[in-house]
Amino acid sequence: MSIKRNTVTTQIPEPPPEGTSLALDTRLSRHVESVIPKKRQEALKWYGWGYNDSQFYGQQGVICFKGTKYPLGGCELPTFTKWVQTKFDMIVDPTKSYPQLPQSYPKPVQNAPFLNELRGVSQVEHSLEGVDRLVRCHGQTLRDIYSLWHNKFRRIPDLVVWPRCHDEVVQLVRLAHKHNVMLLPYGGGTSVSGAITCPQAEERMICVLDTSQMNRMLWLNRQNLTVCFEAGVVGQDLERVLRELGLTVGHEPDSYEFSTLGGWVATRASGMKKNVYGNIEDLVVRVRMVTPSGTLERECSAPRVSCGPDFNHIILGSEGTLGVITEVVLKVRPLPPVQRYGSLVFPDFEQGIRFMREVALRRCQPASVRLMDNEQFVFGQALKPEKSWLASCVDAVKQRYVTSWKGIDLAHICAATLLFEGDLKDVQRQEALINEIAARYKGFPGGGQNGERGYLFTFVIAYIRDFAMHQGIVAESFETSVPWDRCSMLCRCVKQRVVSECHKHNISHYTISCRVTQTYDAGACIYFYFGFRSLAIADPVGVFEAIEHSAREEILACGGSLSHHHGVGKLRSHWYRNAVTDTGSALYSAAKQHLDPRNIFAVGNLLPSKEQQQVGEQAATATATSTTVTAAQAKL
Amino acid sequence: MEMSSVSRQETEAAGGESSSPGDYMQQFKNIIAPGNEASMTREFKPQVAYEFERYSNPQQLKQFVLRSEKLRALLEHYARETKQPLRQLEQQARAIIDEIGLDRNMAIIRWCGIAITAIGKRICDGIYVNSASMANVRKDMGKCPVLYLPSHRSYMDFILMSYICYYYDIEIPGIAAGMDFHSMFGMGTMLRKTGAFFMRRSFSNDELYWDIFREYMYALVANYHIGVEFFIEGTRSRNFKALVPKVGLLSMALLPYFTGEVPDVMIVPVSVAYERVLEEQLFVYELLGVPKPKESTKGFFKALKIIDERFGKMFLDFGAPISAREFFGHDSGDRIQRAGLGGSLQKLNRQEIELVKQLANEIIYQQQRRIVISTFNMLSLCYASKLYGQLSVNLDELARGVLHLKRIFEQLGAHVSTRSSNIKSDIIDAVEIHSNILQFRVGRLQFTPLAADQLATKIDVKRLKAHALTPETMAVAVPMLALQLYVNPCMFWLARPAYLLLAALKEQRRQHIEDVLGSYESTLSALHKHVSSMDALFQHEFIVESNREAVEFETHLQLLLDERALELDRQTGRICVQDNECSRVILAALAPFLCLYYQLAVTVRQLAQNGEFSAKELLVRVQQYVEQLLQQPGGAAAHVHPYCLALDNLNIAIYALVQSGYLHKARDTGLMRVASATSDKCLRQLELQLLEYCQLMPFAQYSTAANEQAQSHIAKL
Repeated sequence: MSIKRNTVTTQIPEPPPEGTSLALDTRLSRHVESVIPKKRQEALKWYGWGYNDSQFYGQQGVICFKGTKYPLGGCELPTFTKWVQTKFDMIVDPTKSYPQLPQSYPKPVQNAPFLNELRGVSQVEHSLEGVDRLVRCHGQTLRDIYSLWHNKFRRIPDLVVWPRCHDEVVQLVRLAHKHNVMLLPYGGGTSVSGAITCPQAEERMICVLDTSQMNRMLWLNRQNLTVCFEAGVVGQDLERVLRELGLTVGHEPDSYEFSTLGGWVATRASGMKKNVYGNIEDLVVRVRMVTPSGTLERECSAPRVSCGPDFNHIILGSEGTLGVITEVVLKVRPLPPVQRYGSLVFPDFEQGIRFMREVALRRCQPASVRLMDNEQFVFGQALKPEKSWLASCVDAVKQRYVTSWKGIDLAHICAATLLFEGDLKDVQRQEALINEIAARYKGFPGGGQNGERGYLFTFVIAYIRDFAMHQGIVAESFETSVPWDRCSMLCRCVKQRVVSECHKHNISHYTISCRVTQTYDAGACIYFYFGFRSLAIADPVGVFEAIEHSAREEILACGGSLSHHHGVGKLRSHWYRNAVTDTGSALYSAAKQHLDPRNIFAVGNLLPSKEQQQVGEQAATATATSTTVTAAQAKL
Repeated sequence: MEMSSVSRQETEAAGGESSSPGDYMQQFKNIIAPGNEASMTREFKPQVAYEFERYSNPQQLKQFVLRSEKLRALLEHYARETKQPLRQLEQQARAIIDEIGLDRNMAIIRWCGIAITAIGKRICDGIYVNSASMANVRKDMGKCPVLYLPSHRSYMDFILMSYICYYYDIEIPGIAAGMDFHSMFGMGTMLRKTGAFFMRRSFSNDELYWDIFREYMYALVANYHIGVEFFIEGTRSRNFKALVPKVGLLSMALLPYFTGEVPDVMIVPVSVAYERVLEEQLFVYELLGVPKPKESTKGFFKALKIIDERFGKMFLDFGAPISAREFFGHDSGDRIQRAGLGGSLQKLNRQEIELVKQLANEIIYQQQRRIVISTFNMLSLCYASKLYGQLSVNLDELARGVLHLKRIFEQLGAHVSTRSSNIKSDIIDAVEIHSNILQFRVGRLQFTPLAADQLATKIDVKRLKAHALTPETMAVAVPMLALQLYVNPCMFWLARPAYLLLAALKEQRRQHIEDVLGSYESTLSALHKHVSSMDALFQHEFIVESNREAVEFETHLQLLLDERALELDRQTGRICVQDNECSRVILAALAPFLCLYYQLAVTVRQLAQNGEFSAKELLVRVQQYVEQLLQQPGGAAAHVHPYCLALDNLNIAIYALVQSGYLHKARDTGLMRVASATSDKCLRQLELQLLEYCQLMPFAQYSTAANEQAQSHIAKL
């Protein structure tokens, strides 16, 4: 007789606490030294865009740029000075000073049980210091900066926390949910939709969750060409680390010096080189988001799945209203051996758009192709630093060649900038094809240097806004995407609408220009620059917003989208319901209600606060009362 | 996660184990019997463990590991950490992998096979292999990696394993071998070419080394076809009973399963039993503290002298394969998370290591239950029980005793090699094989006296592990330890019945003293409680844990009732232990261990008066103290057995005391002190408890008879 046995039971021990770190060989992770310190104000301006040391300034009537980070640093810009003079009838006033940090800060709302548990149970670093709170109360909208300069924020975050990993975020979200503290995920602080602007009506304690200390490269898988970063990694850090390994993600939004991976995902960011690498939604393989009701994540790394609605798309564009993005798996590519710039000149914008359409039709886009209208082309030319005598001569000859030989009117001329990436042969082939198409629309090559300058200026242009405001010009950009059949109509109508709105507001000195920055099979992305002289205007930001509002109405009427990549934020929440239908916005609200029943991510994006509140009241359950609304991380 | 129950139908498919025990033993075939021998010249086209479309060779396997993304990433990590040039680390890695990596040379395998057949025929009475279980394992092979996990009692284990795989046309697995073999001149190369890969034994902190070893193991399991063999006990058990399983290699080998890079892992527990273990005498001396000689080729040739001796039969049985996936009760939902991440990026988490520990226990359990119990095992136990009762025994009494034990073991589920038909010749044969331990003298069985030169050998004091024992002590201890070693394989079956008997004795006394009776249920629950506490105390000594406690309790109780060793009143719960053959043999099996734990507790109490002490100090003190007790005139000291001198067991017991919180061991210095007593953890209480159990034993003096035998022998010299 053999022995009788129990049915053998494997006793499953307690499941491990959440987080991949337990199963991950962390020695393969890489610490990333960020260019942006934990106390971000040490490297970055508290009152505006970019590095502390980089700035436009006036010197003896000439506009100059300083800053070691950019090639334009230390240059005098006489042409630009002249352009400003003619455009705005303004002479640079170097005596104006930039604002000083406030002497005192709003008293923080303190949720004592939350703070006690935070200090007692968790290891999370935090700060209640005024300056830490102030520099994280805003994004980079015109209003944000204006409010900052005029010390207009009534409400700033009450606490800043710096979690170091997914598990700490889980802990924080649990705590905030338990004690009903509002959480505001904060990445690079570059949002231009008002998405991270501190909601002024919030009465609960507001805790900013700064993801900057959560920026490790957790792993790299060369076989799959995928990489996993923590969401707080800054764009330039990410690219630098990968470049050392011979790789690139290739996601380069204009803000990528400062914006973070988590922010890209939260806003559905788009990069300049999306033609080769794709937009963020094409680059993301997996993403984890911590919500009060658990971590949302697709459990599979397969390249594409047919598995019901893709919940990655609940996370993408959630703008901080549903949870905190903690870890993202991205595709990577080998670094291209050749990178070459180019430019094309077209007799007018219409021809340029036709060229862009043809390129999209034939799907032969280089890594980047951008078309500027005449106003922007002139502005771009003006930004050239002072030339040597010889270079000026060459320019004169070039200009003469363009006008007399090609018979082009300088008042209509426009240009496209090009960036090619790939093998040398590949690049040459692409270039030849592009030139061939351009020729069909009376375009001709304008030289690589012009193209390169165009791309380099991208990062510097962002600094102009602060300088302009300082001098009495309010300026900002806005963007949209539009189908091809309405593309040129939209450009025309929006510019006209802005002009007529300016007249309505008695604004005589302004600039409105546009460019086509991305092409798709079905349409394009349009970027508008708009600025006006505001010296005599009492509420310049209010006027600007009113005009931008009209422009957006026009955009929508012309078949354009609410946003191509900046996101909805608070700035465009007015139109969100219309854009997604009532059913759509109810669906969003229901998802929000499920993931965040106490509305701790009440940053107020997507749906206007009031609407969200109503929805909240309708769905008012026994669990909690939602006061205000929903949240986000960064801009493009 | 929910408790997942793995209702593994323990299909005793290996040819119907459920049939009568005698039939099971019929499945064993002597593979070196004339006419059965393997042809070492035939073409070897084995069943591989894990089938692939294309097979790589050992060199390619090494290259695969060296070029893997993981190793590259790790080398970069170390280059950063230690600020060494990457090139230098790459060289180190190459050297390490050459040191580790296995090789394959069929010619050497064939020559070895010829030698083993020849030597085996000369020194063994047969190598018996369960052909049905071999066939059962073989038929399931090919679908996933296979781990062969044999019990480890002798170096013969892995030689036998490879030989048998060849015999049954199964691909010879890669065998994890210690570095001591590697350094033996010629042996290292030979073993490597027959499939050994080498592992450094020392607890070296060379992280790079272990990383590479881990990667090699990973690749060997996940990307190679031959299967892997290693010893889950980590080392040869010098006690002939299972050791606490080591989970290091097992977790390494299972990592590809957890990462989802192999569909499953098939685990084959292998049970190897020897009528007489080659290293027997060596082990006895090692247990007493005379260190083992370093493995050297010279030593190996010296060992060849053994070819003039007889070692009886060897039994090898493959257990039913355990599927890792089934054992863990994993479905796709449990594995999906791991599969979403690159295999090379992962390591096991705490929960998974817990699972691996449970699996390891199950493997040990399955190994032990198939270890064939031989006549000499039972004979030793039988003799010991008489010896402790100061009785002598003749052949007829032995035959009765052994047959009785055979019945008990078969009742418990063990496989017993003894044939009832010619029991006496079996016994005579067994005693002859072990003539260095026991002999018949004027019809009575007694210890074989130690040879004069063996006693006179000067022990090199510098190499002593503990206390220097006197020749008088050695004369008693050596044979009695040797005897106990052969009792020990029985402990797997008898430990818990012995706990139950002791529990019954204790409960009987309580009922007697308090003179109150409860109910059947209350008695049962008291028995349960005592058994569990002994289970806990001896959990590192007898590896019997397997989640089968409840059923085993029933079985054991029934056995003891059937054997009339126990009487339990259904109404009143009155319990009564009968001092009969059955209760005596079962208690005799446990008695030496009880003595050891008791004497250790006493010594600790004495030693602790001076504060902290080291492990070595403690070992020396125990041996001194026990020797002193043993030498008391007339063997007057009670509850002392020469087995109390056994260092391995003392170490296990010390470990148990530390683990369960009776002793506190400082992490940095390794110094120990008695932990401050709490209500449920008090060393003094434990000592009294052990004393109570010792006193409940039907024996008091264990070595008196052996002592007398030894004294008379020494006097004659």
